[in-house]
Amino acid sequence: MLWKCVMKKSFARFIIVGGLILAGAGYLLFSSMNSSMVYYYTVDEVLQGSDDFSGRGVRINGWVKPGSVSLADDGRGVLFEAFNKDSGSSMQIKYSGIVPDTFKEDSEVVVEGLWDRDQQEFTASVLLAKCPSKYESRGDAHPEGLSTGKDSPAE
Amino acid sequence: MIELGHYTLLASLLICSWGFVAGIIGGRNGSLAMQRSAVRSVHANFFLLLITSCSLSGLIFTDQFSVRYIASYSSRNLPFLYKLSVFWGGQEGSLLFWALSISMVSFIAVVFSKRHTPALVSYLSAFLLGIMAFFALLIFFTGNPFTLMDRQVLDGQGLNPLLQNWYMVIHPPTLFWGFAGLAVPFAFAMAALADNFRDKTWIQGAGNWALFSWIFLTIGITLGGRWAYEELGWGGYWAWDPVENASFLPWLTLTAFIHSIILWKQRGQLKLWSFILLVVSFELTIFGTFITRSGVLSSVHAFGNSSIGAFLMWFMILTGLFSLGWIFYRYRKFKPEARLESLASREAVFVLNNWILAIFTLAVFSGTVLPAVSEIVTGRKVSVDNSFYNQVSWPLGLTLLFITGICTILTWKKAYAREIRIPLGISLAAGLITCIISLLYGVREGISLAFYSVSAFVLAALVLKVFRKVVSVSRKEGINPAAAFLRTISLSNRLICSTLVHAGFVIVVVGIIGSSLYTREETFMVREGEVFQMEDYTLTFNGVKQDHDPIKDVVTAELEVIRNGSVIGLLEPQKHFHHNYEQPMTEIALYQTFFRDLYTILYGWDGEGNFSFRIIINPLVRFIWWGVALMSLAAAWRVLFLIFAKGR
Repeated sequence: MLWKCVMKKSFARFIIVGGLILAGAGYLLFSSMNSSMVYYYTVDEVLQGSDDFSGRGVRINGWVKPGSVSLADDGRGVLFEAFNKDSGSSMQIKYSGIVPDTFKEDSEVVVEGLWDRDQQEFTASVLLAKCPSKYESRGDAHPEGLSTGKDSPAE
Repeated sequence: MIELGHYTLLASLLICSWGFVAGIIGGRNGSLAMQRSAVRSVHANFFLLLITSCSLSGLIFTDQFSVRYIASYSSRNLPFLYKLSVFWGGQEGSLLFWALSISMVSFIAVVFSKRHTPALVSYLSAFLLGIMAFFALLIFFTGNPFTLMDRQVLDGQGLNPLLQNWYMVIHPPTLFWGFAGLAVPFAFAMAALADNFRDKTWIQGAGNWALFSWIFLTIGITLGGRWAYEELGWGGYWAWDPVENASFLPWLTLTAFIHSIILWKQRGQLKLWSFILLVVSFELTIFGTFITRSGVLSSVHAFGNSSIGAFLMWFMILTGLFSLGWIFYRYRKFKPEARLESLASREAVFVLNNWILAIFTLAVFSGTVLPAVSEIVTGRKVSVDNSFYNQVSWPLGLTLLFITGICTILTWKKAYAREIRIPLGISLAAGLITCIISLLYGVREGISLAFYSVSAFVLAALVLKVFRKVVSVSRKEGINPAAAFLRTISLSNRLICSTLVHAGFVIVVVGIIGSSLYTREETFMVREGEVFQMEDYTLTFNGVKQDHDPIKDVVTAELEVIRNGSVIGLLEPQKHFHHNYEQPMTEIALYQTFFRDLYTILYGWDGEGNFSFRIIINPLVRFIWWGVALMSLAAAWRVLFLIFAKGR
């Protein structure tokens, strides 16, 4: 009904302005979307290199391999292996952001970042820990802490 | 008490169904008895749900772990305050709380409905009761919080420690009142359609309630951000998580509606568009719940899969098709009464504002649903990272900010150069001066230069508008400027409130730009007694202490903070290890000043005495909280004025 509220004289002007806005918005949406796409892959797909992953955002769903987590040497972030529970294959992940509280060994994680085929290392910029409990509790298991916190901190 | 809860819930379902029928009949044939019955059903439903909720709260506070909901979300040792939030801590309870909130706002809406005709109120009650009947059904069949355990338990599993936070006591109710409040303008719009627009006062009702809902949505979203900032411990307040987006989407469309309804009131324009916005806003509140409860999208807020998703989806589809179909069927009713006279008019800027908000909504919506849609269409999940939202937000936000200033300067119908020359010139000069000052202070980033200049432009335009009003009042009535200012405040409530809301918006924008472009963070690996430097803050790590209480072990690190040679405080970032939960909890420590926050995180430790800290400096974060406070207080002032000064 919008066109009816426009005077005929300014109709062309209205169409031009509206068209420009829509074209701008469309361009904005598509260009932003293209440059920030993240594709979901499995650990195996990435390791086999069936696609070209260089320079393209990749999102991987896997499990944190028990015993593989360590604090990075400089204290910046964590190193761990993400593995596929079905095939058993695993890949090295480096993450230097803030580790979410839900992150722990043998739990499901989602990492987003870039895969370096030569170094065989995945540098994650996003780490989401998918704890199955989410907002619900998981019985009375005692906390293990950040996997690096097995020892008492006060010693 | 369990039976009481059950039966009041059942009674609520029956009353809602009856009231819906009665309201429709009462509206159609004007039967006073039916109209009264519908209104009384709204009253009765509120009190019934109040009893239901009191029984649930009573069960929670008396630790009745035979009820499954309470066994899953509460425990004996949970502090009193957090037992309050157990009510909405889980899915079943939060649905009941939502229903209670809708019944509460419906009750208030019919109590304050004396200015409307009985037929309109009758229809209004009918549609509100229809929505509540759906919620009663939903609770009864998919998430009854009164379901009993099949076995005996001595203690509950406890509330997730992340939710044991003061913000989690007030954030969900605020957001729910915002969502629930949106049902009222939607019902008003549908009632006006049913009433054939005979009673023109529906527009005030819808407008006031849209504003009510907007206030609570604004506060609710911000409290959620504040909670994330202080409790989740990653240094930010907004992550474009699907659920955050889900609460932001109705806020965008509601903001658009609040502007488009002004055009309807003032000029009889944008009628069809306003109705569509209202329907979309209402559907988006359901969509938000759908996202969180259906497991369609992964999110930090997800509650896990349940059958509730299908119910919500069907409700969305049916109400959406029904209301949009009805609107288009009666499209002749939405014929604009006036034409857009000029592009240089306030009307044109309002239209532009609505377009930008609609584009913003579309962008956030498509980014949010992309993983689900791409999986269905191409078989491979694709999502967008935060850079998408950031890239889209800044041009749209900047344009919105700019037209806020333009709109303040322009006049209705057609603005003439001689009228707007002076305010436009002064405001542009203010923007230019800010740009130069920022350049001199070393700001080089194009985005922040643009935002800060435009912010100054808008603030100048807002102040100038009030100033000119005061001057004209002073001249006309021959009183001194101070008296004229007070007179303007008491007489031009709309001008004052809208100026304050938009000033608040500018402050929020300044805060968002500052905190997203100029955040500095650094990680330090230190041993006890070591000193490290974060910009002009000198931090000394004084070691850790360990505490134990019945529910958790706490590791506290002591950081002494020195700035300019004087000790400004002891920051104590912590890690909590709750006995009931596997996940440790990071408790950040914050030192806030006017311009920036010093944000400290105890990141982790190895077995050899090395402790890792992450220190973040977040500039201007406080501007966001203050700006939102100003926006919501000013909007609340407007609502109260409309209700009490203009009569019910």
